[in-house]
Amino acid sequence: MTPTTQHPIRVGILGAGPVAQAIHLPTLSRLGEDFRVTRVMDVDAAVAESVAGRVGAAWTTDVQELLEDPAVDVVAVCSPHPFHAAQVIAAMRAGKRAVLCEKPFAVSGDEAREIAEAAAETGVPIVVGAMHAYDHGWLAVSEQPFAPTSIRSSIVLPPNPRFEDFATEVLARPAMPGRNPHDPEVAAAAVSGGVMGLAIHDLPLIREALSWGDPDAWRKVRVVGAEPLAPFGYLIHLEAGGVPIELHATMSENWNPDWRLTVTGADQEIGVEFTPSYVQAGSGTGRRFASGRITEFTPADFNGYEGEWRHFADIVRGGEQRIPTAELIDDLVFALEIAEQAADTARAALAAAA
Amino acid sequence: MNAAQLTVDADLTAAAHGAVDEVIASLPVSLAPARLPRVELIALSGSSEDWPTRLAVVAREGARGVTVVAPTRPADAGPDRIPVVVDYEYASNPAVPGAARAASKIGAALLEIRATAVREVTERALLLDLFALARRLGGSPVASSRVVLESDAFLAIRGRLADGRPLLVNVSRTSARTPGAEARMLGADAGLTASFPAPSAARPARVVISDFDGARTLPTLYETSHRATWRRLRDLVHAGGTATDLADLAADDAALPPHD
Repeated sequence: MTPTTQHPIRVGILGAGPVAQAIHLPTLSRLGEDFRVTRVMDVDAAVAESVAGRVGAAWTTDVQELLEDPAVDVVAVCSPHPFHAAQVIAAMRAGKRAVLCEKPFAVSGDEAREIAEAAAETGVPIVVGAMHAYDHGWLAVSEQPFAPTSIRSSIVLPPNPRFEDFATEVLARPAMPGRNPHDPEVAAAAVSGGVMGLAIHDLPLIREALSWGDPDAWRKVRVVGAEPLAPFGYLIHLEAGGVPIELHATMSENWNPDWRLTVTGADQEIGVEFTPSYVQAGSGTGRRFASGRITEFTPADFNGYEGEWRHFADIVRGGEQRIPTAELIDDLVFALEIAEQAADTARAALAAAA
Repeated sequence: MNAAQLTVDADLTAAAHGAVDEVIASLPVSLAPARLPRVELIALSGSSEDWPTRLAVVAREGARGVTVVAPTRPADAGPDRIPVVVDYEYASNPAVPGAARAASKIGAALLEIRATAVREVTERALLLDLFALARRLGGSPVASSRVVLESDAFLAIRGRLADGRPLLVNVSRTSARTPGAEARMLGADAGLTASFPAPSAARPARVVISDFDGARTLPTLYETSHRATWRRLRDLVHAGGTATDLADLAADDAALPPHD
């Protein structure tokens, strides 16, 4: 990344919940020469004040006040998903130098198109916080593309608080709602939420891998099976351009995380074993199996979150946006299509069984 | 030859696929190559269409025990007075019983089995092997299954064990990795992962249990599935016992997904 002889980039944070507290603030604390948090906004005044106080920033409960603050160069959108698109667009139109938005940066195709229009109009670069797209493990194994014959994303995690509590001391943790697993609408919401909340970490990578065999494969998505898994998770089978894909996640009290993405081809395979979200545990470990050899790539000392912030600093200082906005839009459309089809499939399966 | 030693004969395919000569060489006190007319144990290739007929013949002719190697179909009936065991590449791995004991304490919500295979492997034999592995690890037979995704290189089967637990079986055909099967059972607060290499090199299975105390690897067993199968047959013969392998095979076959 660009050597930092310049002043730190001044960051305003919209939404100061667990993601901002346990992911972004600890990451930014490792990049103190590049970034300084100057303003924190949250609808809960006590949370905003407390979180801002941790980094010596000003605080507010008003989005506009933060966007109009001349002491804010760039905006990190960490609010709940439904607010992402409007806040990203508002930050771009407010003349900020760049926007980093937590994934997903919109929850509908219409919102995605509005973001694309605003980006084209303002020229403000965007980084979506899909940390695995910036994870050294993935960047290493994806250097030698091949046509995939199957793809598997498997995520086994304990509940987020286990890792949040290693990263920070969380204020105002939202409660998990109780669910009736036999209700078709609950099942639909569970798999759809699972796609947009968990699978979405790996979907940009899956879309990239699909493109190695067929640039348009991701546009030909067909979900053939989707169901929620107890106590929380999903199992989704789909194919895209003829490539079978399995998306699997479970979240339970088992402490042992196991987060893997595997891309298999006729005569080679790549895989990344990712470190859990929230904690600072370096990058994932990438492995390539080909030609009778197993190549393991040394993990980096920083994770994908830090990777995305490092890249963000590069962009703000004039570097090229590694993932163009049009690609970010396609990533979102891909995820939304899978989420929608998976919800329909899960709903129909449960309704048929009733 | 000692009195307890059993003589073994095998058809050519069974001898090759079941590594029968290697097994005899590694159990030299228990087993010996057959010299007519004394043939006590027989290995039949399960890939032969007429293996059930040949089984009936060898039983009638006085065999004391039979190993069926990698069957692709069940037998309608089998001899009820001698033990007949099935030699699977993965389900017969000697680490399976220990893994199953550990798994029984996990209360897993989902059982996953994933196999990496070369393109030439007979799919039906592999699936019967994986269903047997599911039954032995899960402690419950597969009750039903259906194909959810299928291509030239990949097969995904969603099933259910007889006790109601969901089952996922995948087969990936690639030359990128050595053949093997992996199993994973995830429970509410514990989990088990197991890798079963194909028996060609006797690489040991690796079984890891994680629970609230940490993670524990079960002792490695440097024995092939083939050798473990023959030890089991030997013990059954000496004990005068029989096996449920043929009935289990028939049940597994009935639970395979419908195919064209």
